[in-house]
Amino acid sequence: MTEIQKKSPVITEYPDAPVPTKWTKANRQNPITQGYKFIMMCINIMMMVIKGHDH
Amino acid sequence: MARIVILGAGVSGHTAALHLRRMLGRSHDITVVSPNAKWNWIPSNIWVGVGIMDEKQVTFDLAPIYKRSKINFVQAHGRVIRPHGTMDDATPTVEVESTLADSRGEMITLPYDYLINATGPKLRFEATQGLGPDGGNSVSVCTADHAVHAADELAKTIERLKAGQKQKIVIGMGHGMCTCEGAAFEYTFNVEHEIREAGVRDKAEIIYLTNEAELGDFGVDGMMFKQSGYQQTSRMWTESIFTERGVHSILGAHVEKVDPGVIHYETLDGEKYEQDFDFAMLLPPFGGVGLTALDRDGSDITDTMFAPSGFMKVDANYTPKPYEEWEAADWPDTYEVPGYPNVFAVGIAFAPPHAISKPRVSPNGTVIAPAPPRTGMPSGVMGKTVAMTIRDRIKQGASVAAQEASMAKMGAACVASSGTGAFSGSAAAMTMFPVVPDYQKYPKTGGRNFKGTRGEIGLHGHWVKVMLHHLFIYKAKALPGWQLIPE
Ligand SMILES: Cc1cc2nc3c(=O)[nH]c(=O)nc-3n(C[C@H](O)[C@H](O)[C@H](O)COP(=O)(O)OP(=O)(O)OC[C@H]3O[C@@H](n4cnc5c(N)ncnc54)[C@H](O)[C@@H]3O)c2cc1C
Repeated sequence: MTEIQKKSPVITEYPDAPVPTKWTKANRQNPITQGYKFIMMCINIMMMVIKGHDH
Repeated sequence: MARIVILGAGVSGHTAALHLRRMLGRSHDITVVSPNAKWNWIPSNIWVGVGIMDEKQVTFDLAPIYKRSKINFVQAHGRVIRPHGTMDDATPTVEVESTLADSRGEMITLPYDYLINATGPKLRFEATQGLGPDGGNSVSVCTADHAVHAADELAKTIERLKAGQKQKIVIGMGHGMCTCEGAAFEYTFNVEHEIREAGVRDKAEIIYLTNEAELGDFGVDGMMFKQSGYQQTSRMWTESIFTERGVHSILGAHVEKVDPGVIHYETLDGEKYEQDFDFAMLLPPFGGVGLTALDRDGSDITDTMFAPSGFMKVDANYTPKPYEEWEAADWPDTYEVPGYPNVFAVGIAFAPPHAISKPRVSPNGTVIAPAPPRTGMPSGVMGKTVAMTIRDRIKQGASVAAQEASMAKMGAACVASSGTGAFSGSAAAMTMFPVVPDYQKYPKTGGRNFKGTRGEIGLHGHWVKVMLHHLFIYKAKALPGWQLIPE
C-alpha cells in the first residue's frame, strides 16, 4: 500500500521447474516420434471438436 | 422468407454465416455486417508480429466469398438494435453505420427475423494510459495491422542487439483484467526463437509480464496433465519452458501506465513498481463493442440486453457468487438472449457469467485476475450451434428447443509455435477438455478430463499449428469441401 517505486520483482529462476534431459530434447525434434505424436494430437483435437460435448 | 442478420465476420460470425447458407435454401436472406473488408485469421497474427508471415497470408477479402456464397455483405459497424421495432413498425431492426469510403457514416436500417451478435472484442487500449500502438508506447498483435507494426519494431530491436546493445523485451498483459494470456505466451516463445536465431540471445532479457498469479494459469485456472505416468500442473510445465528458454517473469501485475521505455504497474501485494523496456508488446483488456438497444418508443434498454462490460447477456447464470460456488452449469448452453428467442450472442461477444481463474484483488482494491478466454475453437462451435438453432426454428417452428454447446463441455487447443522450417520449428501445445473446469465431475483431475487435457512440447505441435493455419483459411474461404473441416 505504498507509492514508493521499488526494484521491479522480476522472477529469474523457477526452482520447481522440471528440466528436460538431453534425450527428451532430442525426442522433441525426432521426426518419427513426432509423427506419431502429431497423429495422436490430431485425433485428440478431432475428438474434442466433433464431440463438442463431454457426455 | 426469413431474414438473418449477423453482426461480425470473425471466427464465430463467419462460421455461422457459412453454415446458415449451407443449411438453408436460397429463399432465406442472410446478411453479414462487418466494419472490415477483410477476414483475419487472428491466431497467425503472432507469426506476422515476428515477421515470418506477411499480412496477406493471414487476411483475405470477404466480399468475393460472400458473393459466391449468396450472402449479403454490408461493410458497416452495428450500432443500434431495436428488438421490438419502432412505434410505426414492430419489425425488429438493427441500425448500422457504413464504413465504405464513399458512404462513410451513413446509417442503414436492416430488418431481421433472427440476429446473431458476433462482434468480438473492443480492444480497450484506453483502459491503460499510454498503452497500444496508436498514440501509445507499446505494440500489439491483436490485428494484422498491429502485428505488422510490431514486427517492424522487433526488427529494430534485433538490429540494436546485433549492434551490441543490450535490450529489455517485455511481453504480456497491459491491464490487470486482460484475457488471452495464451497469445502473449505464444508471442514470447516466438520472439525468443527469433532472437536466438539471430545469434544475439545473450544480449536480450525477455520478461513475460502477466496478471496471472502464477505461470500456467492462462485464464483457465491452470490445468493438470498426466505425463509419463505422473500428474503435472500447467504451472510446472510453463516454468520448465521458461527455464529452458531463459524467460523471466513478473506475476500478478496490473499495468497502470506505459511511458516511453517505462511500464508502471501494481502487484497483488499492493506494491507499485516500474519496469524499463526497449520493446514492449502488451495486450489490451477486452470489452463489448458498444452496441445500444432501444425500445419501440426510443427508450434505452441496453442494460436489459447487455452486461456493464458491453458484452451481451445470454442464458448464463449471472447471479454473483463466490469462487468456491462457481459451477460449470453457470456457463451458457444456447447463447440465446433472455426474453429474445430470435437474438443470440456468440464468441467473445457474449457476457461470461464470471471468470474461470480465481479472482484476486490487491490491498488497494485493484482487481488483478485474468478474464475468461473465449478461444477460436469454442467460438467457431458456438457460431455453428446457433446456426443450427436458427435452421431448426425456421424449418420446424419458433418454439423448437435450441441446440447446445457449453464451454463447460467443449475442448480447446492453444498451440504456441515458433520457427518456420518443417524440421526446425517447435511448439508448446496445450489441449484442455473442457475449457471451463467441472470440479464436480472431475474432482481429482483439476476439473478436466485427462484424456483431452495435455501439455506437450515438440515438432508435432508446430506441424499442427501450420496445418490449422491452412485448414482454417481454406474453410473460411468456403472452398470445396469446407464444411468437412471441423470448427
Ligand atoms: C493475438 C491473438 C492470438 C490468438 N491465438 C489464438 C489461438 O492460437 N487459438 C485460439 O483458439 N484462439 C486464439 N485467439 C483467440 C481468437 O482469435 C478468438 O477466440 C476469436 O477470434 C473470437 O472470435 P469472435 O468471432 O468472437 O471475434 P473476432 O474473430 O474478433 O470477430 C469479430 C468480428 O466482429 C466485427 N465487428 C467489430 N465491431 C463490430 C460492430 N460494431 N458491428 C459489426 N461487426 C463488428 C470485427 O470486425 C470482426 O469481423 C487469439 C487472439 C489473439 C488476439
